Amino acid sequence: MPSVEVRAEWPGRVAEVHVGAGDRVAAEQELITIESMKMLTPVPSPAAGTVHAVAVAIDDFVDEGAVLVTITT
Amino acid sequence: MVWEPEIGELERRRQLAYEMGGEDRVTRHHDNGRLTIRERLERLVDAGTFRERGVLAGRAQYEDGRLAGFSPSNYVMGIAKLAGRRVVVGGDDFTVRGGAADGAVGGKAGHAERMARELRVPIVRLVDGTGGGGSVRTIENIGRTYVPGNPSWDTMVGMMAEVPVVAAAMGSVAGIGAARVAASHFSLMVKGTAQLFVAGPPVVARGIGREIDREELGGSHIHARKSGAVDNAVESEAEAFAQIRRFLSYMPQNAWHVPPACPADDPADRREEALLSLIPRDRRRPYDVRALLDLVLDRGSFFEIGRSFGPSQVTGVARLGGRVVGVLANDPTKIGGSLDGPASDKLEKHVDLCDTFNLPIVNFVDQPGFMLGAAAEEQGTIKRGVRALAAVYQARVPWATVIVRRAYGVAGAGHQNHARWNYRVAWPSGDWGSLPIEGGVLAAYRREIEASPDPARRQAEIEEQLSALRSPFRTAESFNIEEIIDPRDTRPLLCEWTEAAYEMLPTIAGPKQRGMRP
Repeated sequence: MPSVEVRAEWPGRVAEVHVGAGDRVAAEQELITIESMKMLTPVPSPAAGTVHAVAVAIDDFVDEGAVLVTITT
Repeated sequence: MVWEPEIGELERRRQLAYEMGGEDRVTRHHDNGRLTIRERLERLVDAGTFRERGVLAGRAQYEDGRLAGFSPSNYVMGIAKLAGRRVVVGGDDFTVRGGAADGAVGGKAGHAERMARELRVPIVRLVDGTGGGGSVRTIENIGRTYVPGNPSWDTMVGMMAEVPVVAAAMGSVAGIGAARVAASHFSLMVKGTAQLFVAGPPVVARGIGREIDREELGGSHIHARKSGAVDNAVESEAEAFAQIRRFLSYMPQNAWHVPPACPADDPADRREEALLSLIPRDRRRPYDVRALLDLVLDRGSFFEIGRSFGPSQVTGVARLGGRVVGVLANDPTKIGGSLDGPASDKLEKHVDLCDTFNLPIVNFVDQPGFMLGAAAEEQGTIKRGVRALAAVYQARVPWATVIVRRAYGVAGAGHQNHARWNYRVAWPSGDWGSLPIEGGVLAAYRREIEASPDPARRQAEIEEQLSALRSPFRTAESFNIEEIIDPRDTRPLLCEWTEAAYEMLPTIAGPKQRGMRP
């Protein structure tokens, strides 16, 4: 099954994790919330699928390009 | 009929030109999902209005003094009507020598540029060719090498200050072709079938030893997202023509005129209840800024330019009460709406565009400041940011500011030129300062906080005291914000302002002292 790596588009702190491994997700569903520039910014799923792995935990600092979640579609 | 043979010859030569690169090449071009340049021009402009210039130009072969073969110029151009307005249009014919610039014959492309500039009408370039780099053959043809000079560059630079220039990449464009796309006011490329680069894959392989395919090197994911060389990526050639027509509908014919008005089909007094709930009370929660724009601007009139590049800054054109305005806004879902390097470039270009063509600017501000961090510093955020602020301060068009939420720091202060009179209002969600209270307290009260037996508690107390002073109504008491409005009144007030702006606008029309750079 093809998998999609969802990456951080900007640096920030992981404020909320909305999904766990094995969860079914819809396209555009919010997976992670990153706090950056004092804004809680949703990271939506690029496609419908199943969460294969969540690579981050709350309060982790992530750089731009860091893998957050892997989705199998 | 004295000249009958010549009329016959004229018709025969025209027909040869209409055959372009010949049946095989035209079929191959179609099979690749592309239209020929003649089909493109036909679809772009109003039916039956294209008046070609230079149809007879080409390379001929003669046998015993008679025309034996003919390869037409690969640059087709002329003047036409587009939505009833005169425009110069031209483009490369890929079926003749791959659209290489030296196949145009006799500087036809430059002729089109000068025609647009002299007539002071917009020009549309449909670029589908390479530059001189595709033409090392020229060396053999002329028996020498040559010092390069970019053809018509003086005209093209001058036009940036005078007439709207639209350019579309319709295939793989390299060298001067890529430059002709980038040196424009509005550019687009067709996803998948168009790529743009300084030099194509074979030259890259020779130059830096890297094998890379066309799409990876210069596809729309590069130029409409990362480099900003192209404003909009479109799905098809048809969509490219639709966007070109749409963009030009907001532009005047030239910098001496104001943009054309439309009948107002959306009531100026439309007050939208949804505006009262759009901004979350929690300052850390984002919202859909495009929903805000749709509620305030004339319905369906917002045309976004460069959506995917520097996405924290939103730029576009729209109408208020039928009158054209330039639109600026911040998107809080992208790096909190802050200004980074790409967003600064985009802001600078859009302010210059509006100033050049006399579009009053409406800025919907929710600006937390410049983007922070090492990556942003490396991008040259402050250097690119101050160029954007310089553009704001050089603009002479009427300017309206609606502070919908945050205005912080140097970037937030750049929401308008504070030395001018501007029409400025704020929503009750307005929140501003040089530094946000949350981040600034420790720095400003460090000694006091550290001396306290319970520093964390002391910091919280100070933050609470200052937050009590944060109400925008206190700012309005001192006239530091001129007006706080009911968000539902935003549209009616902006429609009135636009009407006033258009009364003074003709008095500042004409090329600005500062010419716009591409």
